[in-house]
Amino acid sequence: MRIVALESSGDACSLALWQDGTLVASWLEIAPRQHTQLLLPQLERLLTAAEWSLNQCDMIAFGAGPGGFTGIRIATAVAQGLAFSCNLPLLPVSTLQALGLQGYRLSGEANQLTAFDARMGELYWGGYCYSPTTVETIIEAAVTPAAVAELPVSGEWFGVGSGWQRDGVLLQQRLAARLRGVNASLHPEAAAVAALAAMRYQQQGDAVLQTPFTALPLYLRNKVVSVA
Amino acid sequence: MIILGIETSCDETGVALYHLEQGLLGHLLYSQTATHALYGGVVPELASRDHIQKLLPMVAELLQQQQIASSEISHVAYTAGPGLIGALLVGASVARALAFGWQIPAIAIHHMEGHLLAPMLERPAPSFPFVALLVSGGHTQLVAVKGVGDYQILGESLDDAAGEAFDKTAKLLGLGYPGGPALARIAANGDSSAFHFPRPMVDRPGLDFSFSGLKTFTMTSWRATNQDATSQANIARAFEDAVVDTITIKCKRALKETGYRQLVLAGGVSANRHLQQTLRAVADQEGFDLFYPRQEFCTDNAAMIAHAAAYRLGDALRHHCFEVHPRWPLSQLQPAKDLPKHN
Ligand SMILES: Nc1ncnc2c1ncn2[C@@H]1O[C@H](COP(=O)(O)OP(=O)(O)OP(=O)(O)O)[C@@H](O)[C@H]1O
Ligand SMILES: [Mg+2]
Repeated sequence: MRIVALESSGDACSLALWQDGTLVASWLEIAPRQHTQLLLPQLERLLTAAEWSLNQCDMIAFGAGPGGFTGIRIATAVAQGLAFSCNLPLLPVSTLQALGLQGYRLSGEANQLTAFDARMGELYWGGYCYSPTTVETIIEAAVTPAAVAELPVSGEWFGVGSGWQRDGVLLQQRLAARLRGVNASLHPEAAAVAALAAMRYQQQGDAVLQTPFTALPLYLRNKVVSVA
Repeated sequence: MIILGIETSCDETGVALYHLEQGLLGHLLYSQTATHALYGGVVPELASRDHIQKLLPMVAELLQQQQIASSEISHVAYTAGPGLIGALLVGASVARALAFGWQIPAIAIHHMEGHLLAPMLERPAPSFPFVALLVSGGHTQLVAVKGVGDYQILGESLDDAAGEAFDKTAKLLGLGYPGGPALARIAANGDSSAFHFPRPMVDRPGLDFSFSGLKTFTMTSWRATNQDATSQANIARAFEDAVVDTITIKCKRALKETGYRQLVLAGGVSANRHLQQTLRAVADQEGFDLFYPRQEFCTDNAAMIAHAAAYRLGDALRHHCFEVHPRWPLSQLQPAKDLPKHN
């Protein structure tokens, strides 16, 4: 099974080609506000180098969010357009869950609490439990202040993501001895998006697939304006 | 050759199919007005969120409706600016990804060039050169048009755009948002001798406009009344008369200065009946030709984007790097490369 994955929820922008459990090719660049200039040219380069054509792929996975609204919309819109033009299904992946997978692979810790800085004093926050072939959601993704972010009822946890930079002290106090370590410098990558897509498809089958008409960004923050 | 056109620059999602020989095949438009009305103006983030939900289903619906297979599409055209950055990015990203997947070129279109050329969707169509009056929500310009992309700005608004002035005045009169069309509707019942508004800038040479003073005048006049329906209609009428008169005087001047014999109206305010009728009478009197598109192509739509792209085939892009331009002066456009033969 061939998967093309894209991720552009933050300052970084990345792509991955994935086939049957193997990362065939990937690209990542820290390029704030340059996502539209890079995504498609880099995709063309990767596909050509791998001698893949988009038509022969089985699905497109993308980091649907949470993250910067503009970034997740670019990823979603590009994924929608690619999927529609080549008749492919889409698999939207949570950027929190993808980052957790990266944290799991680097630390070997099964339980990952992921946090991005959502600004306005809030975090994008989620908790996941990984095995080499599965992922389970323990804390549902939410946008929340660190002080009241839902904590897992039991177990030991590892913290990952930029949110731990800003609110690490507070979160550490709240988790106390249950916090086994933190990696605040990781950002979600398309390679993890692809791996997670493969994992979820393996676990749940067609139920996780969407069409280009139904695959949308995962904003989490829905109050973006107040009535005049 | 069939061009798929996509428009998402503000609060309208549009898709269109334009056939190079047969002309416009069809178009769809979804207006977000109801979404934004609650807030008294366009909320950019909500506009972007709406576009990304609507756009691709509309593309599919139009292809289905017109029985066009995606393999028949030769180009994807989209509005690359000016407009709201987030809204533009949705249209551009979908358009460029479609072009990538279909392996066809993309064409980045300037929204105001779309408006400007829209009267050429109609028959009889104007021919170059002509004077264009662009009057929309964000623009008020008189342009000497020698060809596609060969634009000389003769004059423009120094403050509010004509459509903006209509909308702000409507708001002052309690007509809600967006109030331009509503204001025009009630003005039709107003007595034009009840109030007299100044004609800004007409006593000065040149072709620039200024509409912001009319707001103040509206406010003062409105406060001095008991704010009933009659005063509302009368003030609306006085405001519209002032705008139409001012525009008319400047259009006559622009035609005189250029020596051109054709006047083309485009943009949302060109849908204004009073403006159309007044200029029609002047055209008949002075012997110039007047053109404007049908109502639905005055305001934002994708037909004008696909149509403009038919004149910009020489500028089709085969690479995949793209950007949008929220601010993009019309004067920065270059003449279209290699004008193809057109019906
Ligand atoms: N009948 C009418 N009389 C006066 N104004 C009108 C009428 N119909 C529409 N308008 C005005 O036209 C404007 C909308 O036009 P259009 O959609 O071309 O503008 P826009 O796309 O918002 O701005 P721009 O094209 O400059 O980016 C609004 O300001 C609206 O009030
Ligand atoms: Mg417009």
